[in-house]
Amino acid sequence: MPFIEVNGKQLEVDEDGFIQDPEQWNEDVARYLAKTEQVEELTEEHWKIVNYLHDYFKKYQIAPMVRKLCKDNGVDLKRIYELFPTGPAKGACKIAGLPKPTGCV
Amino acid sequence: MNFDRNVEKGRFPQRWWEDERLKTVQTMDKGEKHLVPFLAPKIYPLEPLDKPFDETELEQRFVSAFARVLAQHRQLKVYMESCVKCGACVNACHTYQGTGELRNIPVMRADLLRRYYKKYFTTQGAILGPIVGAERVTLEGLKEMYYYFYQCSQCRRCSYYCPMGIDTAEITRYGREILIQCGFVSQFHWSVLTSMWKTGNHMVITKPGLMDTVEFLEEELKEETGVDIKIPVDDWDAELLYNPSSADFFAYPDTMMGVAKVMHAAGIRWTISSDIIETGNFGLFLHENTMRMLNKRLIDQTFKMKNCAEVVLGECAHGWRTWKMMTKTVNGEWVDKRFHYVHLVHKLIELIDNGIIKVDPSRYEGMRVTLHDSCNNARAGGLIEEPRYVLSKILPEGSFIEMTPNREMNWCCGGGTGILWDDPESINLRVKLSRNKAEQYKAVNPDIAVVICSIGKAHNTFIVHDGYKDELDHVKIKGLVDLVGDAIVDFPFPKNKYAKS
Repeated sequence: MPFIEVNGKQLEVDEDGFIQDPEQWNEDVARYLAKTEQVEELTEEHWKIVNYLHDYFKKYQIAPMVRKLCKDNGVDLKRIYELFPTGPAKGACKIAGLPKPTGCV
Repeated sequence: MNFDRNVEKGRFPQRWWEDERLKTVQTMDKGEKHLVPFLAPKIYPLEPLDKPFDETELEQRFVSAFARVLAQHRQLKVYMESCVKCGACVNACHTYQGTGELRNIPVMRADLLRRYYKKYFTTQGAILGPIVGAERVTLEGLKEMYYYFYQCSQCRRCSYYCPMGIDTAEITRYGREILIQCGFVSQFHWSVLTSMWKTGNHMVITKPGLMDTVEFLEEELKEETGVDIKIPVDDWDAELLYNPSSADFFAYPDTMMGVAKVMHAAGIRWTISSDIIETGNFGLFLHENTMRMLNKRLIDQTFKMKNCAEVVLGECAHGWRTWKMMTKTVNGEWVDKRFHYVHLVHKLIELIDNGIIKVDPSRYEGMRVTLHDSCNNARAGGLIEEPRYVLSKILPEGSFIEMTPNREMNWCCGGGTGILWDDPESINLRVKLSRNKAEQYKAVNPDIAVVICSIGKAHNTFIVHDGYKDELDHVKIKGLVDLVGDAIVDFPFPKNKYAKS
């Protein structure tokens, strides 16, 4: 599996660039991954969603339903795509250190 | 995946089949570990694979896997032997018409396996070799086979054109099973299979995540309708067990909410089981043991329920096909006698026809609605007139438009068997595979397209909102029960869901 390097530390990622070990995630990793998903800079609004996703995953071991993500953060799907051009699953979840969602989505 | 480096790091021991981490993917065969840890690279582009075994072992593994599949499934032998090379299938396959690659023609694709069949299982092939098209198996040959077998969406449209009735989906299904024995499997499919063994659904949804999502959906229902509609989980006294598609809990909440509305309005005591929230069955596409396991998991739920009169299978096309066509063969004849199972569409017909739920067609006045006949529902599962009947009851006169061709000759949308990879190269491939489907949509120009299939919802969403969004972005992809739930007179109509964008 390929590796990325953040602050001198090596992190394992899968072929799509999702990190394999959620324990290793931190803000620097998020910034690094953001650049790979066309997000140049993480603003307040970005961080709100990224931290929400990270906490939700820690609690429930899965990414939240897209509609719930929008509702709990007071944004609509269009805004999510404006903030994360590659979308909630590929963009936001990746930056938040979640694994890639499988299945019929 | 680099085998040696992973061995060095202690990630996989030399005797990798004894690794603890593989215990979650045990098969039912005694002594053999089928699911291999070598994740073949994504289909596009096909990178060189570090050799998992040396060439002689590859041949031996391939031949023994092929022999076993042939012994268990006689139809594969028939398909290998019957092809007369008439070329009727050239016009049938959307994959060939979209990509233009010759090996995507069904007959040429089947030949990727047939050349090995001739070499190892026929006398003239063994003796005469390449003169009759028989070849020895090589790593390059298997890579080619993998590359094209995973582009087949197993839609089986070609079997309607073939005068010999050859079912290319069966060939690719068993071809993929043999490839797994040789260490080739798509990472996407492998992760779905592991998820099925661990959690009983495709999306690794565990019970806490499920309960949180259910709570959220109940809040949404209350907000939308003003009524306390519940989604019961693990109510073992219920009389109806509903098996949703797991994607309904992530990306298609309207389908789950539609079912809840219908059940509430009909006054049925129903439940879902947290142990298995998956009608779908990726094992159907490439791994029979996993298919058998998931079927058994659903059957086990009925033993927990005292009053269960029937099991309703949710909006999943290949799940319906698995249950209707495969379960008796793969799990045993007794399954049919154990409980009564129907598709959600059948249940809707029963409820509407008997007046148990009342619908108001005028809510959909002015909307153009079309139906996509999913390959596994219609062509393979026989659900052709039933969805049309339901739509005729909930839509006003003139709203429903047919696409052409339709029913069992409908074009596959291109996403079948989970062609849902989203790296940039795969997205190009998916756009090509969906070309015929997009042409159909453009010709009809609907407002709403009803798709009774989760992979279908995912891929058709990709077609209209991503691949072909310039012309098709206004099309909404919805499930059938979404529309039924929103048409029930007991609840207000959620106008914002149908607003023209």
